[in-house]
Amino acid sequence: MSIKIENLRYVYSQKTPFEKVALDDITMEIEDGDFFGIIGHTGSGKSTLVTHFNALTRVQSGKIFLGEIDLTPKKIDFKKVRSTVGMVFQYPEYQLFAETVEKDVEFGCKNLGLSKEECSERVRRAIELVGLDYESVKDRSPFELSGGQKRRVALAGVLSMRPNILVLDEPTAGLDPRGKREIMGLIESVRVDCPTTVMISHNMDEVAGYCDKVAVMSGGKLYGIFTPSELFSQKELLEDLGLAMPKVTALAEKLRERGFDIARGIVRPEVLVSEIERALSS
Amino acid sequence: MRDVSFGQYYPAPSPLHRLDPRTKLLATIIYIVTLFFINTFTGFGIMAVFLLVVVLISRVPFGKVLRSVKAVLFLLVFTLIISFFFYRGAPENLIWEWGVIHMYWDGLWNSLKLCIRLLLLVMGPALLTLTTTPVELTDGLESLLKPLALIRLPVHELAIIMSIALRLIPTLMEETDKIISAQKARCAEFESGNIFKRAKAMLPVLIPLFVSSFRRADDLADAMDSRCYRGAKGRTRMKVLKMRVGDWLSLLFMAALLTAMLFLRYNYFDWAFIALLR
Repeated sequence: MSIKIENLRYVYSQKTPFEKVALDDITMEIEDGDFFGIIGHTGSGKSTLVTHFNALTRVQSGKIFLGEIDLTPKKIDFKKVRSTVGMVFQYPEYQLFAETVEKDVEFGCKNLGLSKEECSERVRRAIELVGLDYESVKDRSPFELSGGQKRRVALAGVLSMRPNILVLDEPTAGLDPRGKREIMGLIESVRVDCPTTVMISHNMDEVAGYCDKVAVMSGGKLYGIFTPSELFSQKELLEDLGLAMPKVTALAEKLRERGFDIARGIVRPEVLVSEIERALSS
Repeated sequence: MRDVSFGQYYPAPSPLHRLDPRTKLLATIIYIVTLFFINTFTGFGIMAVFLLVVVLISRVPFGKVLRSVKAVLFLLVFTLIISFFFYRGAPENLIWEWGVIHMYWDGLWNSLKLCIRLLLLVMGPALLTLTTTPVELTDGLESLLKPLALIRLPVHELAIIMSIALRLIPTLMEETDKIISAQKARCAEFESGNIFKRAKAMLPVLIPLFVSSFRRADDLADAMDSRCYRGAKGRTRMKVLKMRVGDWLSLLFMAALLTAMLFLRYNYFDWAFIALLR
């Protein structure tokens, strides 16, 4: 399912001294099957933009289409929209509340009004999908799990609604490197069921390693949409935007400065390895 | 919920905003006391003009000040009706009578005065909170209540509890906002169903909110501890409250206003012009 955004504009606290333009004339399209990254500084409007996708933030002016569904009218089928766009917020583990993992994961499913059998089937699948052992974890309290496990449970809570689009706001924030890798691997594997993924991230390595397209936001405006190798091969642009280079790209850059014949805009480690091999053999 | 600006502080570059919070607190107290001594339309007129001028100086839009009246509107109308209909005046002042309901001219004047007093009583303090941040208010209160420390009232501790509470309100509101969004994203509904259903629907918000409040409190205690917070003893301030000329002048003016109003009411020296004003 695709998301089409046309001339979206959003202003917080309209007509007060605290007025702030959060989104300014955004037009873009997220296509079916994209792994779409959104980057930009704090306050650049990323979160406001993505909360429009599942109608948590309502359209003030402009238009959004979720596949065929128009999100502009006041009255829409919220359940349909929110189960279609699964949204995982920053630090999703802080939303856990139920006595057991099973009940927590079930919450979204139950709200959709699905039958008990359907629900428990979905819960089992969701918990397994996030790499936890259903039998051993289902009756435990979510509060006694480790940080990484909590995050998985929260993710499962969204996946149990079987969304078509998964929206992630900094899914790896606050995790150790291993936890980061595990969560990203998991998101990659979830794409079998839910192919379209939108991810807000500050971690350029993750953006470079996983996204097909990257939208750069700055001060409420859309700066542009790039492929990772387009974006990260433009050193000056990155410096202008105050963005770091992914480690892989930075290493490739250093090697080229030392006289190695290596292509520009390398963002994935396996590509760099083959480039180095090629450069050494020639 | 994000659209709710916390408290009612209205930022503006005005002399009133810059006054010391203690001045504003004291002035508000004097203002309230003065209002209780007034019993003539002349007096209320003067106070209304005074308030109007202060509002103009403060650069707060008049609508914001009037909004405070909205909360007591019902009380106001209720007071007006009850005190008008059930007032027992002199028979020659009777306008109309029906069963237990009486209308007297002096009853009308009296209830009008009551309403004006109430209006002025609400709008004055509203202006205080509109022009003073909660933090300033707490600082001012702490400083004013300092003498009570002599009778072992933990003034500083109370003040710090209050300022932490005030400080955390926006944070907690933001947190609530986030959790509500997260649960809404899981199709939770908060706006439909009967009151029990709605109360139950709040659980997925309240539980995470409690959990995070405790976590936050722990963190804050650690942070204060690691910066050697040991209560009031030997503690100095970064922003020391300082009374300036304007503050003393304002207080002087308030005192003069109170005195003038006392004279207007009691006419201590039997001056003729005061008798005329009344």
